[in-house]
Amino acid sequence: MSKPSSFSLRGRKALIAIKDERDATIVRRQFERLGIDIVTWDGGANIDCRPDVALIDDEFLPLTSPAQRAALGRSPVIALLGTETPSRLKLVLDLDPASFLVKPLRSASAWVCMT
Amino acid sequence: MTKPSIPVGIICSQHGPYQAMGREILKSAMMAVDEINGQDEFDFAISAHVRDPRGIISEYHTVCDDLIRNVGVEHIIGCYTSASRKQVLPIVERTDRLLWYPARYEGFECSDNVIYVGASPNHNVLPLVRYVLDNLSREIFCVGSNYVWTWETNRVTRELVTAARGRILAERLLELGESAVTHIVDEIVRRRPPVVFNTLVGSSSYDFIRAFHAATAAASLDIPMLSCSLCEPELKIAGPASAGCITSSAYFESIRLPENRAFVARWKARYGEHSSPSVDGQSAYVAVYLLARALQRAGTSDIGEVRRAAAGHRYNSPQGPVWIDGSNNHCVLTPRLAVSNAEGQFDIFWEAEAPVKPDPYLTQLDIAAGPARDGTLPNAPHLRVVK
Repeated sequence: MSKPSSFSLRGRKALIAIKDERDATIVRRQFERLGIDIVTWDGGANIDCRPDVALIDDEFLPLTSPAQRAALGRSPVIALLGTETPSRLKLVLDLDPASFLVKPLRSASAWVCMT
Repeated sequence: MTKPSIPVGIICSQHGPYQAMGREILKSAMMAVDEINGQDEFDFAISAHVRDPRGIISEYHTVCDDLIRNVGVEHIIGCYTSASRKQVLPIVERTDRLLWYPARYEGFECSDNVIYVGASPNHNVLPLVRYVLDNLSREIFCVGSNYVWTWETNRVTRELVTAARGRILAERLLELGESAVTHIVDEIVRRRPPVVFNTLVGSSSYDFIRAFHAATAAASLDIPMLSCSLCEPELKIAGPASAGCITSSAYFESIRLPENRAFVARWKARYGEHSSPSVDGQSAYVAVYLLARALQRAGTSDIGEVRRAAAGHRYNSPQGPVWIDGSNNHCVLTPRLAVSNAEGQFDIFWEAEAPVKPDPYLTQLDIAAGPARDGTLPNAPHLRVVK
């Protein structure tokens, strides 16, 4: 029976919701290197998967749908922040994020936030 | 007609605790530069701008900044230790330059601004530890230099050993350049571990090898030493004491390939019959060629274009076929295991049957695929003996 290393993220599923294409490309590329499966969410539809982690750009906030908020509440959330005002930060903190990433992203950051 | 010149930075410490390895990297890189500048295949010449950080970690940032701001280089070849690479990483990323890093390293990094030409952890530490678990022991005594190379290599080793129901007997660390090794050697003689894994770098390693050999010989102990970094020039520095070290590497001077025979002949013609290329030096040579070929294909030195042009193109290098995996900027290459002999060379006893994809984050690592669980330690079926 095979057993991945304790630090392996292979086979994990991540929901990513990132507006900026450069940042999204960095996260997608880094997650593919780590063997993480990616589900992209554009903020429009309901979240119909059970990810192991969700990376959400604060530009998608506030979440208007109770179903979206409930779905995100089922997994750890990593929030992507820019240069923010207190009101936007309040929306981020309402998600009870497990970790923060500051834009513009670096690939090393995407690795560190997952470990 | 004079070819246009492309400035390329070369950063390697020619002074300090690992000066011997820095000088080997410089010698190999300059050999490649001179060869390329003399070949019609390339419609440009490389203008090498060499900087010596003298093994001082903060100097790496200074010389890298100088190369980028004052010389205007887009491509830099060099750095030896992972500490030095991590020192220049922020500046090459911020200024969008490309570092061609020749040394084998511990993995768990993947910058878009670095081409990792040396071995990844699945090329170096994995085959070595698997071999030890299958054939020697499930208990390892680790001694290394106190920085990220040793920390990470030991962490991966511990995971593999623990999964095989073995244990790490000790982890002893020395600062870079530290020569006070007696207390560690005394402990080894007292505890008599089945194997010692040496991840010391530079002069500390040579001091340790000599003291280890003298002490174990005096105590009539036969304890194999393991390494992921020892190379032929270091065998000569450490002397006869370095014989018998089981070493994992992508390059040995003794590789029986026509490309390597020709490379070694050119090397000896240039640097002397009794000199030998090092693994990281050979890798610097490969890095210069990979860069030059990518520059030629791209028709520009723009790093995005060069990175795209570099990916996936096979180069029959001295160590065998090498190409860059475009998904992670690391090189596909052939892992090998060898044991050092009294003549300052390595006898290769295993090599992978084909070049192996780099796995810098060890995402494909299956720690259950270890040695037999029935108490016996058979020869591993995935190891092929090379005669």
